[in-house]
Amino acid sequence: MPKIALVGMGYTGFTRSSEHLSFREMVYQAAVKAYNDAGGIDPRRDVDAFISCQEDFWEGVSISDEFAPDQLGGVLKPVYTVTGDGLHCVANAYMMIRSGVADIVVVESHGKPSEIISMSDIVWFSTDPIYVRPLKLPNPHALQALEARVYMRSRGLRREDLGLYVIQSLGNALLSDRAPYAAKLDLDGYLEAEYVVDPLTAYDIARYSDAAIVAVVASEEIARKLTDQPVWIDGVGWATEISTISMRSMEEDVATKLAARMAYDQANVKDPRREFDFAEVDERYSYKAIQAIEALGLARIDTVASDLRDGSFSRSGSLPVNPSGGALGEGVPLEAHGLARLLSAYEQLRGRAGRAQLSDAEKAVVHGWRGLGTSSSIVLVLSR
Amino acid sequence: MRDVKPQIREIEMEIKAYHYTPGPLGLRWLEGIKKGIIMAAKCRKCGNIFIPPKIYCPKCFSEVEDLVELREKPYLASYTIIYRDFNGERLSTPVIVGLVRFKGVDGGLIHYIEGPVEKLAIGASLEPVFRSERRGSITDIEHFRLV
Repeated sequence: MPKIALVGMGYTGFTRSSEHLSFREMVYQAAVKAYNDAGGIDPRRDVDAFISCQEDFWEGVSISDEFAPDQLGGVLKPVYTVTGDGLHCVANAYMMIRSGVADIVVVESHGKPSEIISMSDIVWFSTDPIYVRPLKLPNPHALQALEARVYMRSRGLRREDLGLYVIQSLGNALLSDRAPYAAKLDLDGYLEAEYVVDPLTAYDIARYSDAAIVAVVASEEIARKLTDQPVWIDGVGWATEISTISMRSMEEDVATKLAARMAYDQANVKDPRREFDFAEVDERYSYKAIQAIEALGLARIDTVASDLRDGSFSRSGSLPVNPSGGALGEGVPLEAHGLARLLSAYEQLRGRAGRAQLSDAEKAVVHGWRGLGTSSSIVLVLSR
Repeated sequence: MRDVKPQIREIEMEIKAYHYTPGPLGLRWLEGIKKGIIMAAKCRKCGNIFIPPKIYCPKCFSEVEDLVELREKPYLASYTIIYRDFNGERLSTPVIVGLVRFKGVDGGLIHYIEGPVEKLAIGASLEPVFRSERRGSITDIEHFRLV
């Protein structure tokens, strides 16, 4: 079967705020860079279709998908919006190319949380209106804290273990140009932090940032014409657990496990712990990243805690996770967060990760999640 | 630019202007809450008992018509103490939120928990404390008390 590749990526932002540009203008800047990176393609001439991942409430504009074409150069072309993490866009592009309806597809996602004044209300508005929302919990992160406690208890993870993860990720982020919250932190500093929603401190919960990311996905034939460094998409999988939070397992990330199984089947991955050189995972919460590592098959249920303590997931470990930092250091640009993970993997596989470059980077797994209160996960297998 | 922005910020979203339908089982469930009874949906086909109720079984996809009263005391399946709000402001009084589950019942309720902190533990026994004036809402339960 013909292969499918990432041939170009561009981004703008990863700042705490970006007042001078509208979110559409941010997307435009990212698109110009992505098209240049993809061998200088002209979207008006060369691109078959465009896909945008966005959410009306984040934009403050209803039916916001109607605003998607212009800033990508997609006017009068096939354009649609996926309400999911940015990686869901990549999955859709993959399907369009594989099914033969397009040869080159542009995907974008962006987030400008600095413009959202009522963020807490919008997040809370995503909860069940009959059984949860009337409770008006003072902090919706509490819903994830419930899961964190169950998960940590079942795997023997202590507060210090979350600290190890946070210290590692914020330290990795110091090697990145996209990490406004990168920091050199030690365990004492971590343990001094007060709980926000016990067992999570402010260090365990990623903050927001503004960013726009654009990627160009192409068939093998086009990819080989545009670049001599295609990054192959070997497998894509996604899954959603149940919408009712109280019915979820909490002891494991079932959706990620199923998404990984789907992607690994396509990519013929048999032993994820040995086959991948690194992983890029969602870390909107420290514990959630650890849960994802396990669900992706990169650690066993009974050894995930000891692997973490042994440094297996550090930059010098057997399987580096988020080697240039993740959401904790970068901030979460809403639905673009999955594309931020993709961007880091893309740079590593092309040998363009700068100071964060790993010596061995040929095959990677990329993971995305839709964030607070959700159970939708997506997994990609990439190779160079 | 600066002059324009405050005007834009005055726009408020109509996020409260919705009607939400609890559905036929949900309505009966809320009527039960109003009477001080907690019920769960029961699937005739696969026997799954679950809460919150829906007219479809999340396990076998059959249509569900029955509610059964839950007489046993629930237990605390997980909990968190909220010290700060979403914007990082410290709450004047921390609040405990728990995942309340019933033995043999799929799902559960997320709700406020009160009681002596030394009893706060996964598996702790709970009992619902209903408000005296009830209107058929999840908030007719004021909280679950640690017993």
